[in-house]
Amino acid sequence: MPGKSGIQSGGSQGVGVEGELSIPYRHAAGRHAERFSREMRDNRRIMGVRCSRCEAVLLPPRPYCGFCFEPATEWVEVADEGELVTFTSVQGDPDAAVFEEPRIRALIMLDGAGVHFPHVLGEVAPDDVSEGMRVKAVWSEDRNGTLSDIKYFRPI
Amino acid sequence: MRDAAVLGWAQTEHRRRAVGETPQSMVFEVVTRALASCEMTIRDIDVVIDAGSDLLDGRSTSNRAVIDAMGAHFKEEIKVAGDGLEAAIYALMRVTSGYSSTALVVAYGKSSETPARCQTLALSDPFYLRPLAVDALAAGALQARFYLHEYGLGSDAPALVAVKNREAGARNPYAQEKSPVTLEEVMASPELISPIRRLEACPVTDGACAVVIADRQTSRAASVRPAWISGTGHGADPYSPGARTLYRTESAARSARKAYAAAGISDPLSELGVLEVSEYYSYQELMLYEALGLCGEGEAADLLASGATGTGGGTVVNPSGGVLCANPLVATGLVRLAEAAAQVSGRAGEVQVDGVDRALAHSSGGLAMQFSSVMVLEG
Ligand SMILES: [Zn+2]
Repeated sequence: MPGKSGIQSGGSQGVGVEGELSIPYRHAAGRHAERFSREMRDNRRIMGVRCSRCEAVLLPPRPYCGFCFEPATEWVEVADEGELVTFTSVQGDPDAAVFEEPRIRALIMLDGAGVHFPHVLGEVAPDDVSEGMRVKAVWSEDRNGTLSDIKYFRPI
Repeated sequence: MRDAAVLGWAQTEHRRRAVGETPQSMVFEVVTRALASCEMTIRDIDVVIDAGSDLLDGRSTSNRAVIDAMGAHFKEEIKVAGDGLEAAIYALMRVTSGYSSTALVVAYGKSSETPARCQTLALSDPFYLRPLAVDALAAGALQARFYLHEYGLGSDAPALVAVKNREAGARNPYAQEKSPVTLEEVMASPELISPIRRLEACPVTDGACAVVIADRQTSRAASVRPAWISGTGHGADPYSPGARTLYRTESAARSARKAYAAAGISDPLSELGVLEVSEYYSYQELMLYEALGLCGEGEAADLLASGATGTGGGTVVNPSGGVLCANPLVATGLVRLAEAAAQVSGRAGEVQVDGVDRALAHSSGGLAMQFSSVMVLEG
């Protein structure tokens, strides 16, 4: 905001008014994502939380288990490798913001985790990817506490 | 349960771009036509429940702008942030509680005014998913591949959904996509994101829908044949797609079980004549057969191939052509309710299926069908 304005005659689109809402946000990561980020940046560790009832290790970490509606207070390290659950490849996606390349999105069951972790795959062609393959994190040397501290997961 | 009924409804002729229309003009059109369809006027309406999207409209609390077009000034009005079928469930609560006798449900979406991608990418978590550009399409693709892999299905299985629904949509005067397609054409259409192809994804649509819901007394006295609401259910799955068993839609299964219990349905395949479901992508219709109890897990592709859910089958799914033939976002699920009500009251015109005693309407929302709503209707 503020929006632009001005009536435009638009041919096949009819008469219109250009508008644009550009609204900046600064989303709080919250204390759980803060610790998650810090552990990735400083220690190359992926941390989840364990539900006090069903004992599932939840990723991304959160203060509660949504399945049990119980607090999840115990921090647990999960492996930076695991099994590929599902994936999709994108061709020519104009909006991929941080992960320009590679373009294969994936859900990964990291060893020790109870839910699937979303990330991207690299060092592999889409045709060579298959469900159940083992993958491992490739850490960035230049880590800043964001999701891209892991550059991608690669097959092992 | 015959405590409330759908009495009237209307939808726009859905289009890629409704030139010359505003959200308000589309809403005014469907509201006046819905009221006329059950011989009511706006003065007969006690409460208005509406669904719209602030992001699509580019306005905060967007219902403020359509109040007049809905005839809602000087009435009680509540906006539901979600699909129009969720607004209908709210309306049902109003009339069955005795708080209102009649409710007008309105939903609209004019997706042509802004890139739809902005809307669906904003659904995802800004820290964990948005950097991966996981929007509705990418989440759908992850789910589609998971489902196909889990049951060992080829990518031609969901493609048949598009063939079936486009064949049906060709008869629907309100549909946006009105031409049938062959399996070869679907398979040859470009991949948007694997494994979802262009012809297996919903179109971008401008459209609106309005529905009148009334209590038992009003419905019994109505001059039109009521479509009785005999069961409903609503539910949600975890926000993070990774926290779900993504090849199943638990929220739809739970919603259906609740609705079936209220409606006394034990074998939906034989007891429902029509289902109108929200398949934003072709594979979702297969998953929904299983969640809605038409078949067991992993059996949907066989059920579809048997022809049971197609034209002339015993349990026709999406005789309107479904969401693959028109996707007026936010109104999409409410259109399913209007179509289901039309089927059980014999007012479905060109898409009428013979002898439908019971029909089901389904909506979903969020990434990879996180939210589900179900309503069962009886003639
Ligand atoms: Zn738990």
